[in-house]
Amino acid sequence: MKWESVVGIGAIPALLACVPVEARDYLDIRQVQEEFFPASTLTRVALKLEPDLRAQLRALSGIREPFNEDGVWRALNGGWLISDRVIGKHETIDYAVALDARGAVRGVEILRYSESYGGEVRGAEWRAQFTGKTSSDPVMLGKDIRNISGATLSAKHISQGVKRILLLHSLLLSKLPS
Amino acid sequence: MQVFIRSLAIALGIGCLIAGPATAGESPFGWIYTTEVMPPGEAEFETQSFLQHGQSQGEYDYLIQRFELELGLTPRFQLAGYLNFSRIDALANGVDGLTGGPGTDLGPGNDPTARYRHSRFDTASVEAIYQLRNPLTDRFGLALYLEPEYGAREQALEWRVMLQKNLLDDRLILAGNLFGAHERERESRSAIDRASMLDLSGGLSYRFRDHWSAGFELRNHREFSGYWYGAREHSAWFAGPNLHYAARRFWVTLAWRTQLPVVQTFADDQAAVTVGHRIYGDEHARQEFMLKFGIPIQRAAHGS
Repeated sequence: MKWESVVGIGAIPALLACVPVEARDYLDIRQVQEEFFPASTLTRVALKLEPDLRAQLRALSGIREPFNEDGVWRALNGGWLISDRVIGKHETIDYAVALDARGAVRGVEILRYSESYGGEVRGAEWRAQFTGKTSSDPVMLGKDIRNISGATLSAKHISQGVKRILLLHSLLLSKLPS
Repeated sequence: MQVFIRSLAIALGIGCLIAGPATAGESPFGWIYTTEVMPPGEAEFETQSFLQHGQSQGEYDYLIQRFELELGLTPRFQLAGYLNFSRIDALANGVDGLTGGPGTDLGPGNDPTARYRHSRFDTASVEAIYQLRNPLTDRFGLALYLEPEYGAREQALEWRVMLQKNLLDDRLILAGNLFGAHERERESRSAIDRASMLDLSGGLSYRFRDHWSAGFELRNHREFSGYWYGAREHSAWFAGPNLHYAARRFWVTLAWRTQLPVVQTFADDQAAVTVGHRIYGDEHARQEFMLKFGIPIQRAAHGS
């Protein structure tokens, strides 16, 4: 028996690893716009977050993954649609959050889920927990957001991501001129 | 060895047919246990190929092949069953130029100057892991492990205390284990061999891109005579890298660690099998490799 046999065994998963993971696009941003802001015009808002604000968002939300500054739209009625990305178990998760004019969550949708597991976070019942949340709520897994056993990492990071968006509204978006 | 490769290929083939999405059972480390457990109702099939290679001279390869079925019972508790096999191939590898080393069992009919090659079923074992703290939702992860092992020639009881801390959006995993084992082994030429050991291991794994993690592991192994930490025998150190890949239907981890030239021996028979500040004899090899596969088993209904 030679150690090369161990390497030979390793060739089997290496071959399997070449099979690409199926990324699954569930919704695009236009569909989310239609869902939460039907027949409304949304205007993209160009953001450039200052380092201090970035640090504050990181400290308060716990998320280090850079915020998607190109994914912010404002509705005529004062609402907001924000798309962002967080880290999942093996890949990233693209999601969108719709806010009303007060900065409360109208809904959360999962756009792209390339994860190998944890798809339960797409369930409407789990996502409905975020409806009505504001920046003054904890929005924390295990506190006011119920966990999904087997999808803890995805659930945790999505919760942190929604929290970051609520904080962004409170600290910046609500202060932008109409 | 061909027996093991065939059985492994068959197991992988079966696993691929029943494979589902990867779950919490995956491990980015070669030897260190993390504190996450399988969700209730989730199961995983796993193989571990642990190769010890090379002593001070000659030829030496000792493969321990394990097949595991793991099942989550509650959000904090999982059980696993193992079948453990081994394959030894050694020739003139001893410090004295004779054939020997871990895994060998030369009886009166064996020529100590000749090649010793043997495959066998060693033991069956049951492993229980209970999670006290979840690294994803608590400040750190903490879990306890117990594994009794039984075979015709050897019996053992293993335990672990496992710690884990996640950082950087859970990209970076720091893990440490305190591991203990109490062993009884019947050998052909001698009476019953009783030994106990204490391992301190620690390491890190960092997800540097989607699907891929890499890291490092360090281990201190302390061996004692008797079942319950009698006289000290030696303290050896090992270190090396790990690499991990996880996809939808499986995960794989490859790790290597080398015995560092810093061994401490506490008995004459231990010093006698030390060369270049590394201990050999019936204790350790110079290089260790680990290859692990995990294949989650498809659930019948998967809510999404």
